[in-house]
Amino acid sequence: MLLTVCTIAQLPDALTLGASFGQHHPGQVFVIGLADDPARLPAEFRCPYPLLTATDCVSDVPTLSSRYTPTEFTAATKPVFVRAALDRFTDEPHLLYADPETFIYQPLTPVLDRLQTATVLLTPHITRPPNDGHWPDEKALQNVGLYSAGFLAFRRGAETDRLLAWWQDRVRERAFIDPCAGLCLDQLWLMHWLTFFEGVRVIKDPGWQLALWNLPERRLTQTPAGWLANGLPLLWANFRGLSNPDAGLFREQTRLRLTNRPDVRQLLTAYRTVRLTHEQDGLASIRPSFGLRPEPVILRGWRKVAATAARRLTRFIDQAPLPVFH
Amino acid sequence: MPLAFTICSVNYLAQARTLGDSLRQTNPDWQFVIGLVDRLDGERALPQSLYPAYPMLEVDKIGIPDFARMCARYDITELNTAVKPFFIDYFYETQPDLDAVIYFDPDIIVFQPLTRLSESLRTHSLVLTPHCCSPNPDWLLPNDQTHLNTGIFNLGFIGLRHDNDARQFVRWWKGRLVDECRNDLCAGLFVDQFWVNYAPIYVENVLIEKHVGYNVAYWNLHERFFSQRDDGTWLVNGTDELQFFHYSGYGVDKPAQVSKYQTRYTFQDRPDAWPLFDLYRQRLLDNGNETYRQYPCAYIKPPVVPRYVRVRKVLKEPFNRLIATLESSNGV
Repeated sequence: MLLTVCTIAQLPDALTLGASFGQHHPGQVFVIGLADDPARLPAEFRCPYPLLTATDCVSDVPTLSSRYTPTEFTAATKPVFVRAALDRFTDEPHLLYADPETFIYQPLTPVLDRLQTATVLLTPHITRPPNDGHWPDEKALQNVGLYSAGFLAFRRGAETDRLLAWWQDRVRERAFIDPCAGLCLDQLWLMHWLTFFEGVRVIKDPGWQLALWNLPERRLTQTPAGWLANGLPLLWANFRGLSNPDAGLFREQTRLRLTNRPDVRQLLTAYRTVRLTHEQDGLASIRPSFGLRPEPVILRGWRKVAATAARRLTRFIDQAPLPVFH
Repeated sequence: MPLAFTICSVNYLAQARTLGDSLRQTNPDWQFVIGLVDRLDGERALPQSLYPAYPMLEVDKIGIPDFARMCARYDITELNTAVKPFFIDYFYETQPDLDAVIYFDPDIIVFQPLTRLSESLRTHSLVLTPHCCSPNPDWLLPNDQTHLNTGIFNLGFIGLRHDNDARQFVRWWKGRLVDECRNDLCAGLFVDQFWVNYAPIYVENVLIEKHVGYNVAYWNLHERFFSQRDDGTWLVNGTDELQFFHYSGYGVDKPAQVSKYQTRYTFQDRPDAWPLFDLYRQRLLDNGNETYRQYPCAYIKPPVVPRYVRVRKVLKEPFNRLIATLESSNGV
């Protein structure tokens, strides 16, 4: 079973994911967790997949909603939807979670194979030191977590139950993006999984979870049998931050330059073309109903330059040695 | 044969000696070296009676490139932690026949022959101990959130095999600590420790050691309870032999306090832990704690006193207002 969690505006992404999953896993369950108000869905919208809603699954939505931004709210509901999906589809031995911007290129059998001997699978953002002066550097990644919460694989069982109960409890009140406090959505909590729970495995296969943050260390080639990443079959890609540059935690990344990466441009263009076929009138413009706190403003162009310069000046004023007069 | 070492300044030599004594008793065939972040030349020479029975290696003798710059950049805690991988690499370089290097913080003592650790280092490049192996019960300090921006693993201990993967990791770690061994949580930095979160990703063969007898300290008391066999052997949770205990934040001058860094337990809550602390206090006193602690470190710097705070605040005001305006508008 594959689960994604999204707002109404992200439904076109989720539908694209569902179609790509269905192509390689016909007849298998794809579930959407809607971290949004189902009453806001357009009347003519018919979801081809089972839909779990925040209103049904999350207790005390108003409290959670007033605490968080939409991004934080969605993150805080993810473990709740994982739990709800496992409870609703009790015959499913596994649950895979993928961000809505994910696209599946090959059957996910290797993931299920790995789950025979593991409880949970994680993918790291990077697998070797970047050492290139670009952002995000290693310390920036520490602030958001070294493992991506954009793809997770669970095997049903007591250990997964224990993990989900703990994770759900932590993110209900602590899914803020606040690096000074050691918090970042549902994702930074993943740092404890290897040590708190048994059977958690880190997978560094270049064909898994191709994404903005790891493309600089992966080369793509197109073959008659499909895309390869560093010579291995590409199973799935996560287009968060690529299909919409305002989404995700790496909006200000400087490492991946699309101008030097015709391979990525080609993959992205193909993804956008397919995604376009799943767009429905009005969906993308419906603002999230939950998460009442405003998202931080993304600065670009001269505004970004001005803010950076002003920050540098205040730091200088703080640190400049001044002569002491007695 | 493995080499065990610690790092401290003269004021912590009672701790280092106590660690050395515990190792000599439990693992007599191991080498033990004290890495000294201090100087013993000229007027700073110690009286003969205060020289430990263990070799001391002064930090300015191990060829750290640009050591002067590190001294200028770091405070005393940052400096003491930043030199860790430099010492490890020095041992690798100067003793090529070593099969492993093991670091212990000076405020650790060893209770058992570390045969399990030696075995682990035959099959793993690194051995790391998590602060906790299970969730904390509440939000007192430290809690599950505390370790998210200071590090999952406690770097009061690390075991490294002498192999290429471990050496490559040490080279990377050294590179990071030249400039970025700071305590700056907002910037994603917490001395040498936070960086080691990368170890299970960068290094193939890391053992995350969850044996409850390893690196027992205030941060894992919630999952570890102590008892003694008739022969005096300390047990954790009734079954596992205590390997080594880390008395982080404990002070002889405040014997009633478990650690200055924690708020969860008193010895009234945890009478099972009291004898372990009491025996440590006695050993520190026997090893000259009161004398050593008087010695100021040669590398200590005067604390930075912020001056003209109000003037600076006024000067910053217009720029802070500009930033706030930019970040509140949604941009046109």
